[in-house]
This record gives sequence, C-alpha cells and structure tokens, in this order.
Amino acid sequence: MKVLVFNCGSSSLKFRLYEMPGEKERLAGEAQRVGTKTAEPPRIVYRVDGVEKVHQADMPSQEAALREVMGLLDSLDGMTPDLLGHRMVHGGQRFTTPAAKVDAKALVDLDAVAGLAPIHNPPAIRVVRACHDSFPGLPQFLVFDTAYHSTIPDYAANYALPKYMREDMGLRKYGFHGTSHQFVAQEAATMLGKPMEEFNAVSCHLGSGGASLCAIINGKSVDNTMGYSPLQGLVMSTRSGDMDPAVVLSLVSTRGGDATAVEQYLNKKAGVLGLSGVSSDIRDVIVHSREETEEGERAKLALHVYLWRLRKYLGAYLTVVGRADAVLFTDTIGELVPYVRGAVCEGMEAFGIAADSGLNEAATGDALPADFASAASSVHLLAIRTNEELSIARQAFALAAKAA
Amino acid sequence: MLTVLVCVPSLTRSTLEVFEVPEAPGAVGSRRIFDAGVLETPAELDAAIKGLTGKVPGIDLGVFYGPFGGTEVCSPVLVDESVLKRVEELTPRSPMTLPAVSGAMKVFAEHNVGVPAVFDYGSGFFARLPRRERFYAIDPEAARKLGLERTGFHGLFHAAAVAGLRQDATGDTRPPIRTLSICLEPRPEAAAVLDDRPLMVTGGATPLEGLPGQTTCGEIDPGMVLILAQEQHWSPEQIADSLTRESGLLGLVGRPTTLSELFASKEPSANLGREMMLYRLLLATGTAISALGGLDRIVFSGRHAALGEEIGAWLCERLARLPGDVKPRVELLERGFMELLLEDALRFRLEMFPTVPI
Repeated sequence: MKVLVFNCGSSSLKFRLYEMPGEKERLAGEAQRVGTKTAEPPRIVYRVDGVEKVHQADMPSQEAALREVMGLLDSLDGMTPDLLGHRMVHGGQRFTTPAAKVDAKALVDLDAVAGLAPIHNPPAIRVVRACHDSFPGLPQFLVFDTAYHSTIPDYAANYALPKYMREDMGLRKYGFHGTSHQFVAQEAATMLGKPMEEFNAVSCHLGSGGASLCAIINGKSVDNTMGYSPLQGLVMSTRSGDMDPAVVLSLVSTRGGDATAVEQYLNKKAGVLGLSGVSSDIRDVIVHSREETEEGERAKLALHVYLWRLRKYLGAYLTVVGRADAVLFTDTIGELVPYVRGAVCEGMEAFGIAADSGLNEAATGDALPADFASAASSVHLLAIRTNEELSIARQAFALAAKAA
Repeated sequence: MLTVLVCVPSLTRSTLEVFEVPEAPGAVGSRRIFDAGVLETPAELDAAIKGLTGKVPGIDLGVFYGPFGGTEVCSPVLVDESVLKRVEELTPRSPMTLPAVSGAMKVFAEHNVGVPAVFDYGSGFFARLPRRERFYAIDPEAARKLGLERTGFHGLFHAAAVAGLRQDATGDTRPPIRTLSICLEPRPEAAAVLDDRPLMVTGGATPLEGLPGQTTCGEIDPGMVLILAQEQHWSPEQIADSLTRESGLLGLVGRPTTLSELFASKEPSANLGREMMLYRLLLATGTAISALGGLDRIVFSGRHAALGEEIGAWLCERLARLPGDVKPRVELLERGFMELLLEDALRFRLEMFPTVPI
C-alpha cells in the first residue's frame, strides 16, 4: 500500500510517498513558493530513486499546489497513492487520538481548531478540504503534533488560571512537535532494546526554527516545553520562548496597545535573532560569539541565553522523569551541531550524564543514529534523525489497517 | 540596645513597627515595642511616622523595605540623596510601592534629622544574577531601556537562607555550597544560590512570573496574553487584573486560599492546586540542580515555611530516583519577615560601621 504524506507550510507543500508496511520511501518532494510573489517562479522539486527533478508550475494557492502534486504522481509510473496522511500542527482538545480519519465531522472540527495555530493550521486545512473534494475515494487521515501530548497530566497541562479561562476558553498546555518526539522515542527504544511502554527519556527536538523538549515516561509524553501556542518554552530562532506575562503586557503598552505587532515581534524577531542582532541561526551565532567585537559580545549573550534555557529545562525534565534511559537530540540543530549537544550535557553528572566529546563530534550526518555517552554515563545520549513524515505514514497506515 | 523603626510602605497597605534590638552583631532577642497596624494610605503612614515622637525612645535606625529597587546595587543601601533620586527614577517599574517608599523615607528624614536609614529591597540580592539568567530572548538594548529584565523579588528571604554559610565557611578551599532557596510567601519564589551568589530565580521582571501565587498566575504561555488581547478583545488592564487578582490558588481552588490552607485541605477542589504547586516546585528543583551542578541544601522560608517539611520530604523522595548522588538536606527558616528585615539591615549597618557606636 502506498501512503502519501503531506506536510503543509504557509508557502510550501512537502510530500513523501511510502510503500507500507515496508516503509520504503518511493518519492519525496516539495512544492515551493506557493501563493507568494518571488523573483523565482513556483516549482516542485522532487526526488525519485535518488535523482532530483524539477517541475515548473503556476501555484497561486495550496489547492493549486495539491492538484499539481497529484497530477505529477499520476504521471509517474506506480506512484499513485492508496492513502493520504496529513500533518496537522494543532488539534486542540477535539483531536486527542494519535490519528483521525477525515470525514464530515472531522472537517467541522478542523474549522473549530484552525485559529489555534494561525500560521500552520489554515493552509493545511485547505489542503485537506481540497483532497476531500477532489479525491473522495481516497481515504485520508490526520496526524496531529499535539496528539502525542494528550497524556500530559492535568497538573502539568493546566495553568494557574480561573476555571472559566481554563475550561471555557481552553487555555491550557497542548504541546507541539509530538510527531517528532514520538518518532525518535520509538527509534531510541528500539535501538536500546526496550519496549516503548517502559522507555523513559527526555527528547530534545532542536530545529533550526522551532524547538521543544519533551519528558517521556513509559513511552508517553508527560510534559512539553511549548504550551498553548508554540511561543512558550525554549529560546528559538525567532521566537522568544518563556517571558514574564507582565513583560508581554508592557510591550503591548509601548506599542500603543497593538497586540498583533507584539505577536509578530515575539514570533518573528525575538529569540536568537532578537538577542544576537545578527542571525536567527544558532550556528551563525556560535561563529560570531568567538569575535572580540561588540557584535561578538552580543552573539555571546545570545548563545549563553539559548544554552542556559535549554540546560534548565533539561534538568527540570530529567528530574521529572527520574531514571531516564536516554536523552535524545534531533532535528537540524540536535542532529548537526555537536557544540550545542556538548554544551548542554556538560556538568550534568548529577543526572547521570557524561558525554564523550570525540563520540559527540563524530555523531552527525551519516553516522546517525549514534550514542555519544561516555562509559561513565548511566544515561544514553542519542543523536537521532527525525522523520515526521514516516511517523505520519505509520500512524495513518495503522489506523487504516485497524479500520479495515 | 538600639531602637529600630521598620517600615514596609505601599500605596494601599503599609506597616510600621519599632523594635528594641541588642547592639552586638549576631545577637538575638529583638522586642517589638510599637506597632502602628495596617496603614491604608500614604497619608496615614506619614502621620504614623511623624507621630512616633513621645511614643517610643529616640530612633537609632530606620529600615524601609520594598520588593523592588533595581538590580544595579546589592541591598540594603544607606539612604542618601542619590538613593532617593534612584528610587524616584525606578518608580514606573514598581508603581505600587516605590512612591510610598520614597515618601516615607523623606518624612522619616525630616523628623529624625541625622538618624541613619537604610533601604532594603528584595531585588538587590539579584544584582549578581548572571546575564544568561537575567535576559529574556528579545533585543537586549531595548530590554534594558524598558527595564524588561528578570530581577527576582524575595531576595531578603534568599539572602537569609544563605547568610549562615558565610559564617560557617572554613576557608577558600571548601567546595561552594549549592542551595535551593524556596520562599513560601503569598507569591512564592525559588532561587538557586551558589554560596551566596544567585544563579537562577523563578521570579521575573515582575512577581507575576514563576511559581503560582495566592492570586497570581505564575508562568504561562506568553502567547496566551496576546490571544486574550486579540481574540477576546481584553484590554491590557483587564488582562493584568485577571492574571494578578483572579488567578493562582484562587483561580485553581475557586476561593481565596493560602498555601498552608491548600496543603491542609482534604477537599477535592484543592487537589489540582496542590499537585500543580508540587510539580512546579519539582521543575524548579531540577532547574536548580542543572544551574548549580548538584544540590546540597533546600531551605524553606516565608510565612508558610513550615510546609517545607512536607514539601521537602516529597522533593527528596523524587530526587532519590536520579542516578546521580543528589541528597540535599532540608532546612526550615521560620523567622518572620520583620525579623529577617531587621537582621539584614542591622548586619549591613553594623558591618558598615564596625567601630562606631550608633
């Protein structure tokens, strides 16, 4: 059975086709510059059997991009999907199971949660609707980043707010990156020969954009650094992470009550970019921090704040987990930047953590997955490549098989 | 004996007390000889300061307390013109207390000419907080100009929690002592302190951040503040009011509740608040271990410090599950707020003028 996975961004549509249950990737690609006016025209870049190809097409909307992708697959031999899986960022309290079939009720529920992730949910919902309308015979499944975190206990998921805000307004922690955290936890449990139901870890999804930590007990998420929105938690590339709520109010006041301007600032211009003033990429900041200049000093501050917040949360979650089997590092920074992994693990002997610097340096690229813990460490330190699309394919396939 | 005035000014609820205190450093046994009760307006406080003449012996020292006084200088500081000017400059950052502090110190100076006064402020303890802990992830220059940096507030309690360490120190060769100081006041706060230097604190630029308080929300997703403004169309004042006065234990339990009442309650409505408070303290403990590289002591202070016995045992039971050897001893600092304030200010006074009798 061929499972096609869509991962929809605000101006892109990523897709991968898997042969299941063997999990062989048949095709991977991305529709780029969708619905945007850029110097270069929109196009679909895709890879079949290791060969990269480009397909030029006019794609003024996500719906148009979908039609182009489906047409492209149809034109290729043996690439027509039997099943669709959609990555959804935020399912709120309406979608708490790992995956959900798209039907009339699901479409209504999707509209209800659209505003919970205003950047990610609306374009993804448009794609789901377009698939539903254009390919009614093709079973579709939704996989939510928030679903893995539905096991977070009430005392960790709730904020100390009045009941009407917690219950009527739905202001609670949902958590994000669940698909990735679940995927790497499953991979790590398999690597270590432990059943997922007995696996304890802290998973560090350190993306080049967003980032979050997840505390995992017996294979289940018990806490995530992101909250109601993806703004809470770690310092990210352009997102501030944790912030005194009174500071947010103060920023709103200084901008004449314009909350939207503050939202844009805290999501797009804060974080590593706001602190360093030079780049939103922590890799650039690491380089700049070595300069004995004013710019270098500011980069140093950004790096220290970034690492400090990460270390604080790692310590907090390791304490929650108790006896962790492993600390997992994944996504762009977690997989490719040994400096960050090493700095985070340094001086953490109280938690049973000791990294081997040589193994850490070597743990990148094709060497993944790799364990860079030293012999003295009682906790495995695993750098693992995440694959959210495969995780979505697995979950969609499992639900389809169950339904059949 | 010294006669010491201790004043905690606020625009809505000030206190004024006078104590007789043994003069020798470290001596105990202060005795309260006057209590003005709760003073609801600055005018009432001014009148009480002016009216002390004849009610108590001549005042030797005035001690004034505010939770915030900046982080540029460690507190307490001897009040002079520059301190009064600085307090006025900082007023926008603590508008409910600093105007009252400034006014009370001026009235005191007018009616007690030549008598020294000290200003003790909770944030002063955090003057040595590392930059990595102080800064939020926004433009640092703008943050500094707007005063949007983490300062912490219950420095007085944290200073008291580690004060003995300086006396106990046996020399430079001993390893630094790693303390988690948990202040259980109506707005609780935890701080990680290495010997006497703070490295981490749950309080933020205001006391709203961090652990939930009796009516304050503590840490929340900053995005929610913006959602309330954008989607619910709440004004900043309405949001601030809800997060400051309707939240915390009040919001969780549904009625006014102190920390001690929360932990004593058998009602199901208290369960979520109790579990959340313990969980947030566990997170803070893990954060402190990470900041300090281990943990030697957990010290509880504040008016609900007695809860430290139960909470400390629970935390230690959880820490015993860690693979590293994390076995802190739990201590309770059960002295009252005024005693701490008095001791801190007097220590400063006596240390500053060790040979000059007051």
